[in-house]
Amino acid sequence: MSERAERPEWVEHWFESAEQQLSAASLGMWLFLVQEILFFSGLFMAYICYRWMYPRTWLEAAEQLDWVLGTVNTAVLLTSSLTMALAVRSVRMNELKRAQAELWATISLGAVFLVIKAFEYAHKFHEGMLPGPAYAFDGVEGMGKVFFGIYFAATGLHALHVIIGLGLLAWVSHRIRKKLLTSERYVLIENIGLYWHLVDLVWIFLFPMLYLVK
Amino acid sequence: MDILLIAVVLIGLTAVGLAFIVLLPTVGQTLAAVFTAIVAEKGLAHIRGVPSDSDQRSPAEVLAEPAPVEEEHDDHDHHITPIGLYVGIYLVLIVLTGVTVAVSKIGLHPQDAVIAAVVVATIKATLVVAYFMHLKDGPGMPKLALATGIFFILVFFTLTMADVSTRAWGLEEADFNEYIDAEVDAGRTPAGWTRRTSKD
Repeated sequence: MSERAERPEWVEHWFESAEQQLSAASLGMWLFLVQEILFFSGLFMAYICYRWMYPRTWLEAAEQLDWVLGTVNTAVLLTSSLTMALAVRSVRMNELKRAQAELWATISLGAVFLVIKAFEYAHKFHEGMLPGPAYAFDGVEGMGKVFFGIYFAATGLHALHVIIGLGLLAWVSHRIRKKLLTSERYVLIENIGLYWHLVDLVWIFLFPMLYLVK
Repeated sequence: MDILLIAVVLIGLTAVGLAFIVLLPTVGQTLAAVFTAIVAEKGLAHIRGVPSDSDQRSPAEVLAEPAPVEEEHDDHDHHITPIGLYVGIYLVLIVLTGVTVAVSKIGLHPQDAVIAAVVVATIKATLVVAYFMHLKDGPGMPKLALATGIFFILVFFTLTMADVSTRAWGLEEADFNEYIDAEVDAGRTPAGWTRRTSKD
């Protein structure tokens, strides 16, 4: 096996081969993702604690969320995960044009998710369901502001991840255009893809816990 | 009776705490070391294209084998998932989303509804991790990392709920409700609303 001869110039000198560099990058991304999961688990812990403490408030407050919009957003995010997976696949099959189209489909779906989220937020702000001390809604008995505090913290941090993800996806698209990302050197799009799926994962849990608690 | 309960809780928590403090570093490190050694050894051997030592084959066996044919460099091609599988998984995910929504509308008891929701969400998450994130056919180290993360989340949830869910132990129901009402009337957040007095 003539590994030396096949060694591409983008493989760092401390790696034995391209495969080793790719698997190291992949493991690094996974460690970051696990850290992200632990980070979000804190929010889920807060949700579980306070739901345990205020069960009735929780059921009443969750009525205020629009489950139709939540379901639509879930479908939007799942679809964007599909297009992301297909984009990674297309890059590996060296169909870069198609990958670009799938990337931009992912970006558009992410943007749609944010727009729907923004409408939801606007409606809640209008009704006075503001986070923290600004909470001024009297439609929920008891500790409604705790529920909405957790709602805004969880969905807000999730939306922040979506926004960062959109930026990263645009960057990936730019790298493909510059030919810095190819079917051989695909780890960047794969890792950004992993990040995007993680954002989807978090929403898979947030959606039923916030919108469908009845 | 109350003292007995408190004692049981204290002993239980101490035991759990000690178990985690004593067992985790030793057992966890040993397991991690063994796993890492095996995975790294296998992985490196795979990358180098030589059989790993842990395969434990006799020299005669090795000699009897025909000389390894130069592997074609298309081995990244057969790792690529067919489009049909992605679309299939996606359709299952959409159907499961419909299932969660439907289950939440059939009027289950909230406690059962939560369990159903978490079960469906876990199935969905597993599908995403296994197929979209390629963990199923991927190398071992990311699996180990994810498993470790999930394990510590369970530790985190268990210990926290062991505290939160037992805070009202020892309070009689009437006293408890009175205490809650007084705190709420005073505009405070009562510390430890823990007894679920109503099932509604």
